[in-house]
This record gives sequence, structure tokens and C-alpha cells, in this order.
Amino acid sequence: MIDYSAAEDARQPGTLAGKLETLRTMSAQASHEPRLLEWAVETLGIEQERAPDWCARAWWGVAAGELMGAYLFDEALIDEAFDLLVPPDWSSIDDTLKSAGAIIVGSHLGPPSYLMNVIIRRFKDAFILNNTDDMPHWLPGHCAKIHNPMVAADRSLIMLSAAAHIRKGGLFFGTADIGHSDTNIIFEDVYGKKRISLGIAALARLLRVRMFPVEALWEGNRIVLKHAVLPQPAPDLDNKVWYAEWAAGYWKNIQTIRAQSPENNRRLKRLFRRERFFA
Amino acid sequence: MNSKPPASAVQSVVFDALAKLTGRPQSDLLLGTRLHLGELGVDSIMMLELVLELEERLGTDIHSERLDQGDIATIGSLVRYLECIDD
Repeated sequence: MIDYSAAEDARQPGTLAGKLETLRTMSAQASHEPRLLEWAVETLGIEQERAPDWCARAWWGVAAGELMGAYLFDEALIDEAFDLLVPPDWSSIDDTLKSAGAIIVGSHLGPPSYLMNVIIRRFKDAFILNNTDDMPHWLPGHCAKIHNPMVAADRSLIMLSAAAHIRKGGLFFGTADIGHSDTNIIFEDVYGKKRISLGIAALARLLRVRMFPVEALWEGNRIVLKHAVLPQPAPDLDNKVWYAEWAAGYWKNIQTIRAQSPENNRRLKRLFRRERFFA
Repeated sequence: MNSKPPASAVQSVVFDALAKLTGRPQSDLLLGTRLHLGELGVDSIMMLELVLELEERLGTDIHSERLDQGDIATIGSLVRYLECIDD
């Protein structure tokens, strides 16, 4: 295993962009780890000749995500993290918000917390659904409406507050691939079980507002916001069926991104922990 | 002995909406029945469905952002909140 501490790296002199490039060099070491190569080939079906590159990208994504997190959660460094963002096209969301509320739904792909931080900065009054337990004390101050779904007893009120915010023309942001929800569907793949919450889909369906699936993903050493196009369930479906079909499309999009870009697959973090592995 | 007080118009609407939402007969519902998952089984999605349904039936804005835990604790507390809106 490569010995690397993102927290320590963040404190060192040098630019974030330069450190990410250094991580590329270090990631080459990951391409020689027999256990990773074997797992990539046998479990994921990666071609033998592509496996070393896949392992290097996977390691880089984990290390770069941890380094990015150290920058995002440090008030003195956060601007440097945003410098890596390719200017996003918000026009479709901005246009929608001129006449109605809207929902941005993300997932746990790409560098952790990046999309939420971008949205907090771009949409000052957005209603954010996110675990606040591990946030730095200063971050919630940037957005008055960060709501924590971890406590089950609070979820109904959070749902009602979110609905009120959206109905007044506001923007809601949350991720649906979380276990901390009242109602969810469990999907499973080689990385294990994944709960997809139905709450955000219900907000969109019941309030009849547009939902924009957006991901903040690594492209090289920069971050690009990708707008996904999910299959739209038929409007005449029963609510529960509609939610389930939406969840299936959302899950498929996650799987596609995981398969195509190991640097954006956070589940691969487990590969680089000595104590645990998927199998 | 029936512990239910005479039903107000709001109460009747709430009982009817909850019976439809949860699939329980109205005879199972009491003002003291707790709405949450452990008793009546109203989760966060169902709570939103309930509020939207009640707004439509009562023809009023419930101002869901003003609700607190006490207002949605039991059927009776929700009825009292709605009756105050009507006032």
C-alpha cells in the first residue's frame, strides 16, 4: 500500500493543482499491487492489459478526493478547491427557478462534498439536505438551510420544510444514495448493497417540479459538473411505482459512472484500506 | 365507552385522509394515535402526501414550514393545528 496522508499533504507548501499532479506520479505504484489487479480482472471484468491503469486511476481518485476534502473544509484553502471547477452551465436550472422551485439531486460520486459546496456557494438560499455531523463549524454559516437527515424523528418535518421551500420557488439539493431515509429501495452490485432513498423523487413527483440530476466528477485534474439525463417514468404510474422506476434509473446512472471512471467511484476507497476488502 | 369527542369538520377530513393514506379503518384511529412510523406508520413521504391532500380538501395553505414536532405527534395535535389555521 502507498503511504499517503491527505491532511498532511494539504498543510505542505505548493498548489492543489500541483499536488494532484504529484498524486498521478504516485498512483503508478498502485498499478503494481497484485491484489488490486486480480480483483479488478476477476470481479469487475477489467481486461488484463487495462487493469494497471484502472488501479492507478482508482488510487488517484481516492487520494485526490481526500486531498480535495482537506481543502474544502479549510476556510483558508477552499477557494483553491473551487479554482479547479470548470465553469458550469447553470442556464437550465436558472431558467426553471425564474418561474418555479427546482431540485438538484446528486450522488456519492466524485470528490466528496464538492457538489454540495458548489451549490452552497452558487445558490445562497438553497435548501440543503446533508449530514452535518462531520462539517466544519463555519460551513453551515454559508447556507442557512442545511438540514440533517440522520435523526429519523426529524425527517417528516424536514420533508415538509423542503416542500414549503420548493413551493415558494426555492432550490433543493440532496443526494438519494443514502441509507438515512424513511423509505428506500436496496440495490446490490459487486461493491455491496446500496440504499436509494425515495424522498427526493417524492418531492419532485408530488410537487410537480423539475429535478436535475447533477454530479461533480473528476475529468483529469479538474472538476466538471455533469447533468445526467435519467429515464423519466411514465406520468400515469402509481406514485410508488413511479418512485421505484426513478430509483432504478438513478442507480443505473451511478453504476455507469462507476464503471467508466474509477477515479469517481468512491466505493473503491475500500480497496485501499488494509483491513477490509469487498470479497 | 367511546373516548372520541364530537368530530369537527376538520377532524372528519383528517380521519378520512389518514384512513385512505394508511389503509387503516377509521375505527382504528383515535385522536391520541401517534402518527409516526412506530404506530400509524406515517413516514416522511406519507406526511407530505397527507399535507397536500389536506390542503386540497380543506382549501387552505397549511404552511407546512410552521409545523413542529408537537403538531405532527398525534392525530389530535394535527387536528388542533389545522383548526387554528381555520380560525
